[in-house]
Amino acid sequence: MKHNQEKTEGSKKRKSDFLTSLKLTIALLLFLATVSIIGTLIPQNLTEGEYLRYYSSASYNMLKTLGIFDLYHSWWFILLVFLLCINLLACSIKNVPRTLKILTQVSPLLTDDQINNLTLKTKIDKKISLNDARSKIVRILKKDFASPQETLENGTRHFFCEKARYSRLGFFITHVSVVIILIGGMIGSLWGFKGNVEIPEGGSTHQIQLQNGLMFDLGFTVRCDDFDVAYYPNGAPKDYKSSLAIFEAGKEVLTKIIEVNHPLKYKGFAFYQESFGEVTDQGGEVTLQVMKRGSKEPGRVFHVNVGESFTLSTTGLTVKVNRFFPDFILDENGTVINRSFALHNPALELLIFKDDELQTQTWVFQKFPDFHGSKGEYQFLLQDIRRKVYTGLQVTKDPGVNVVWTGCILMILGILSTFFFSHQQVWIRTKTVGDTLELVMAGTARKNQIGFEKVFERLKTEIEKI
Amino acid sequence: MVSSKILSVVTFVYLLSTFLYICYLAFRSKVIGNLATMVTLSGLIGQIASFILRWKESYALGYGHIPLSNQFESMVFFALVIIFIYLVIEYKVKIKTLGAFVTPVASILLALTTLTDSFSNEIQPLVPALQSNWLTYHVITCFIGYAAFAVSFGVSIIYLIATVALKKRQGILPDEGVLDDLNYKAIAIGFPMLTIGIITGAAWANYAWGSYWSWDPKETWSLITWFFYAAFLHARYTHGWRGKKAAILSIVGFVAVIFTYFGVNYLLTGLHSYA
Repeated sequence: MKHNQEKTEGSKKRKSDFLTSLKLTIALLLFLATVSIIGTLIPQNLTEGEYLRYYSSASYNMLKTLGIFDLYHSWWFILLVFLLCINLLACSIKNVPRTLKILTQVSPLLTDDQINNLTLKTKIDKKISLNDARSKIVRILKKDFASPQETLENGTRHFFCEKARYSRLGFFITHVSVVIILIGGMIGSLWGFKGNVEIPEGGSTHQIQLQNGLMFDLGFTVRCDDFDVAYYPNGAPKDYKSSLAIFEAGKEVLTKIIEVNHPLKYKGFAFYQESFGEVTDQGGEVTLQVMKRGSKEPGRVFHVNVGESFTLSTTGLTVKVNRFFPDFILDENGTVINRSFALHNPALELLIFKDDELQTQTWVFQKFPDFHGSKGEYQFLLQDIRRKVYTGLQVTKDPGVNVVWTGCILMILGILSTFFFSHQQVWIRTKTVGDTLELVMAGTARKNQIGFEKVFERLKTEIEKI
Repeated sequence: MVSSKILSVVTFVYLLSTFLYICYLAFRSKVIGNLATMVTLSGLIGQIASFILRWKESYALGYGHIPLSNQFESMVFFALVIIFIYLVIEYKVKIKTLGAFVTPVASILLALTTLTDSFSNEIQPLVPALQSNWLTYHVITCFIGYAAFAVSFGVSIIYLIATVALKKRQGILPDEGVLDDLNYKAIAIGFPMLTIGIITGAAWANYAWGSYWSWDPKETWSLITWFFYAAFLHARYTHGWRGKKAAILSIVGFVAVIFTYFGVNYLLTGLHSYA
């Protein structure tokens, strides 16, 4: 019986040793690094058809079963991350008592035991009274190190000061922060979602389409009042802006102009400027001035939608506004193409019919009203274009995002205090023997011993001068 | 542009300082050593001037932004930070032999950008996704990290040469213990900076695209690098992996850094197509 009990205790101990071992941490970190590489070499989350172009169906099926095509969300990758979390927590918890002891049980007294354990120590004898020395010691420590705490015990006066005590918590904070970030990520993947919505200018919606294709009701209405693109002189896009308004039960509660990097946030939802485009079934409205060629008279003005026609009543001609190109150019083959969405060279294709028979096909350019190629007895001037555009928004809800940021801030604090601060302690013990003051000075630093030795030497030189 | 002309000159200045540091290694002459430091420092000053001028020139073109927005600008900045960190370390530890192994990295980076046509040095306007203050924080922290790793790489190369090749001729290269300590210190700067770089990148991605992490190849490789250096630090802390093992690890780590920086852009595709 007794033998058995010992055995189980032994295996329990081994198990907890395994989980708290830093060997496991190192192995997990290196293993995670290695498998992560695979996910950057094999394209992730493509469609089956796309994969079958690279792989035979046998290897496709095998890789799919192993979760290689969505590696970072596969059960075994998540298991590895989970193991790392357990390992981090186990290591941190194991170290809590020791860290707490260091943090709370600081000895302001310099005992002989301590002196033996410390590497940096020195003895100075001075012919000075304690009263004279005391204020000088305090001043030096304050100036060159930190404010000392004084303790009087059995006629011996101890001075103790330290720096960056709480940097010892750095390890703990860093490890816990990793777990917090992962918890935040998990909350996001469980209860968060992502969707898209396209709203035409002037239009509104209360539904978005989720990534899985389902529609989701927001519970409020979003209206797009205006969408605008600005371009640099070289034609590169400079800015995409949407003026959005939120309505609750018909009442406007919030308006904001969003652009890339400046989303709108409302009730846990965030609206990001993602794309834009023309509403294809409504090409927008153009204003055309029609004059008799060569005539000085202003002629008539028509407002017409792209794709629709109007009739010149005096002649019985029907004009169809067939196509609209905001940035008309001809490619190498002489084909008409649209270079961009910007109004760099707005052009209209007009088809002129007489008695349902196509008579003329011509182009009208807003910037070149006297374009020599335009044909027919009438001259058309493109006065104004009111395009119908939509703004494409990405909508996300991620209840874990603030948890992630909390973890990130803790991680930065933890790592900075671990690497850039070092817990340093200095003690001075003074004892009067006759007319001599016997000083013992000792110190220790958690990190950067070489740097601390310099600090200690400087303090020693100053103290020797009192 | 004046900034480009200065940069071409700086390229040659850094090549000269590499040459001088190698001479210093060979002849151990104090005069050459001091000259090497002076030349490198003047190169750095020139490069900072060029950086500020380029910044101003971008405003003159009507779309002012800090010059950290494409492959060319980031490589130039990488070289700047490497030289800066190197000079700080040289000043602190008073070891000039490192120069022969660190300045070539900066020289090669600048030579690639200014002497070849592979990278366009034109000042380009910022696309909407890059118009964010996070750009500055993200790029600066990442490149301080990268540069610190570059220094640890240089130190590790010297370490291996000192222990393997020149075992019998002591005194030419710095003491092994000092090199090992420097290797650790450089990584102790690089790792926190890489961490902040990844976090600021995540924050930015969340503002721009609505997700802080999307397993984009660049993100993933930065995480791979982070895992690797985290393993390095833990191995050093518990198993006392020092000396040769640490040197080999930090060389491998720098290969991961270089892949994160260059390899991803040229060999893999993703969102992070700027630099």
